[in-house]
Amino acid sequence: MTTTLPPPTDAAAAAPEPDEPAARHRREPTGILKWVTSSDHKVIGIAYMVTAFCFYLVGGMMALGIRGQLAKPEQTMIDNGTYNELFTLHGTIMLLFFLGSFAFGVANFILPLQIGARDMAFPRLNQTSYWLYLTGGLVMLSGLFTTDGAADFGWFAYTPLSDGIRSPGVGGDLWIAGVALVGVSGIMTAVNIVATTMTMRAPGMTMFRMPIFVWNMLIVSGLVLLVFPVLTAAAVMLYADRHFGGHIFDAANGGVPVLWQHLFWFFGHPEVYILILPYFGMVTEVFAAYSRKPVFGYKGFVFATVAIGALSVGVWAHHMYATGVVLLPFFGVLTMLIAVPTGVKFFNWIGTMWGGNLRFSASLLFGIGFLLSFVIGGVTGVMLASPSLDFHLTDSYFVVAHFHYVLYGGGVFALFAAIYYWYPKFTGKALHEGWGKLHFALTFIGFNMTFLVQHQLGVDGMPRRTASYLSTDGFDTLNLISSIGAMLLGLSTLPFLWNVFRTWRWGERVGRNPWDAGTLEWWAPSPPPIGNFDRPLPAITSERPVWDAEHPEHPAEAEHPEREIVPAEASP
Amino acid sequence: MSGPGVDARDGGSPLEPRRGVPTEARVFGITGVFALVIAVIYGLTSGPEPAGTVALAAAGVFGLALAVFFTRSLRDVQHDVVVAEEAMEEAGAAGEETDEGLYLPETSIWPFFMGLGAALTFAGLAFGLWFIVPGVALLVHAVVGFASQSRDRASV
Repeated sequence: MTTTLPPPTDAAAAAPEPDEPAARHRREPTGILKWVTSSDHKVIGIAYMVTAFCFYLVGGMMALGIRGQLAKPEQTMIDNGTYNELFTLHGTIMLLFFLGSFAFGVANFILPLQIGARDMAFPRLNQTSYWLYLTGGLVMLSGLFTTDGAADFGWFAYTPLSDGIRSPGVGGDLWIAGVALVGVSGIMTAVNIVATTMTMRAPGMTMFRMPIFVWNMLIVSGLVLLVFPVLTAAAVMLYADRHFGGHIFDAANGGVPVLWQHLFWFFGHPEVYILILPYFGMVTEVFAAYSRKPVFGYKGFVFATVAIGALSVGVWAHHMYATGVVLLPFFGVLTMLIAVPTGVKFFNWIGTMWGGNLRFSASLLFGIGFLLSFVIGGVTGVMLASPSLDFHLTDSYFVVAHFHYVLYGGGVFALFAAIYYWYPKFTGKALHEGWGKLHFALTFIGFNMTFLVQHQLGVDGMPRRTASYLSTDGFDTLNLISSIGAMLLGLSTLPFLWNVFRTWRWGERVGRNPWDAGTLEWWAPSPPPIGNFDRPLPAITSERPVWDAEHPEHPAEAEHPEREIVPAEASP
Repeated sequence: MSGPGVDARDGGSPLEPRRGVPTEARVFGITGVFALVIAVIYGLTSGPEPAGTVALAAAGVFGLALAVFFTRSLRDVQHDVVVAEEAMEEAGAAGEETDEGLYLPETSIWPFFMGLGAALTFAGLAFGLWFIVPGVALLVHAVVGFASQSRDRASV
């Protein structure tokens, strides 16, 4: 039994189909050689996702170490130096090597399918980008095995803490090397995604018929191209300061330490949107599919995404209010403005589900968990955007709670929604719904238990990045609750891993379109062969061509009388 | 609907009629103009603070450069795909052995070695010459291999 859902009634989805189409074939290597040499976008996409998930497990174990140390006051489970390494690597791994890279993996697999292309625009560049990403992560982690340990200056590596005098040793250099490698890798993938989206769309796939996920990946790629070079340049400057006697960030010799903060956050804040916008796109596809409705307010959603992308380049210094050298009103106003397009998206998501024929699968549950958690992260974000509040809350656990609600409640919930949704397309088999729902319940309870109380800890004055606290501080109970929640959150990964294993061993194959969804990836076999499509594409006259083809009883023009219909078979 | 007078070289096609600036260019144009506007506001009000002003201005210029590029030279790929597929169908109907006519992925080991070489080189920044020398050698070899694979393929 593959799923506890009622089987879809759609005829086209019923029968499993053979994998290989008749014509397009090439002798493909198998086994390990396939993962090393194949330039097929689907192989690279899966390699990206698996690697990113492994980094998630590594980063998650580090988080469990941190929470274990903080479970009780005055513990010495982990010494202070190791604690610093753990939170530095936890942050860097989760932000640079997990969340963003997993999104690139999904995009590699799904984006060409969604626009009706046969591959990415530059397949071997795509491969190169994957290998730079993997080796970048390994180079950074290798610092753990050096005598001085890994980098321990926090994931944003503020100068002068990260300079050669205060952080000697190779750990910091390996951190810089890893960041540079993953930066180059991200730029390559972004170039690839922009070129693919611009030039490889199927006939009839106009920009305003692209699925929301493709739109969001396009905006994300634009942001990557803008800000990753800044990060890489800043990393090179830091390396020069550490080794070649550069004085760029060295105040004693006329340098400006706060310049690092400007450069880093000019990257770092758009990076948050680089991390979250792909997951907005994924969760939009999930809501539309399980509500069996088109996306509500499609164009509004696209404009909101463009607005978020544009605004995000002008808000970096809200991370720097407490430095006292930034322009508070400018950054306060621009940061609060971002709440407007984000709020528009909430209307889109709720409107998509409103009145829909909802199917409460594990995927949709994760989507709803995303809505509930992310709204908290969004609201605390607006609170922190106000300089007068931020002066009190900055670098406290309130901030920790805020960005975990954004990146875990927003990012990871949507990530799991996307995994359950697209798993049949990735592998040809659907994950088990019952285990999926257990996974959701544990994740949701564990996540809120861990991070909701941290808001209060921050308001009570617990600073972030401290390895211990006194029992007289009054942080005991909430920290214990938070640590128990973290262990539960860690355990919640086990049902998921078991689900993946049992589906791999005993799962039943499903058809092309098990969820009766509307976008083009569901037109291809599951999993898609080399070349992706084994039959001619349907006429693309709306943003969900497969739905139009499989449900002629709901013609696109009836739903969108204002939309111009251009037949795909028209030829010049 | 588009008329027959649409010029394909301007990025218009009967399949995707364009009115003026294509959407592809607008996405980057809007972002670029916005970044320039806030660069001016930020520059005037902040002192100017050099790092942010320069970064914002550069973001604006790059966005506009992409917008201009897409407006002027985005190929009419939709049209090219239709032509390629028609050619394939005709050749197939005539019983000829057909190549795809589309650029499908080819296996390659070079990206793996490029990754390995780059990783050794960058790790060498921390560990020293005994990483950098083999790293650069591997990287150069891989780049040459990568490029000659493209050349071999183009000459087939």
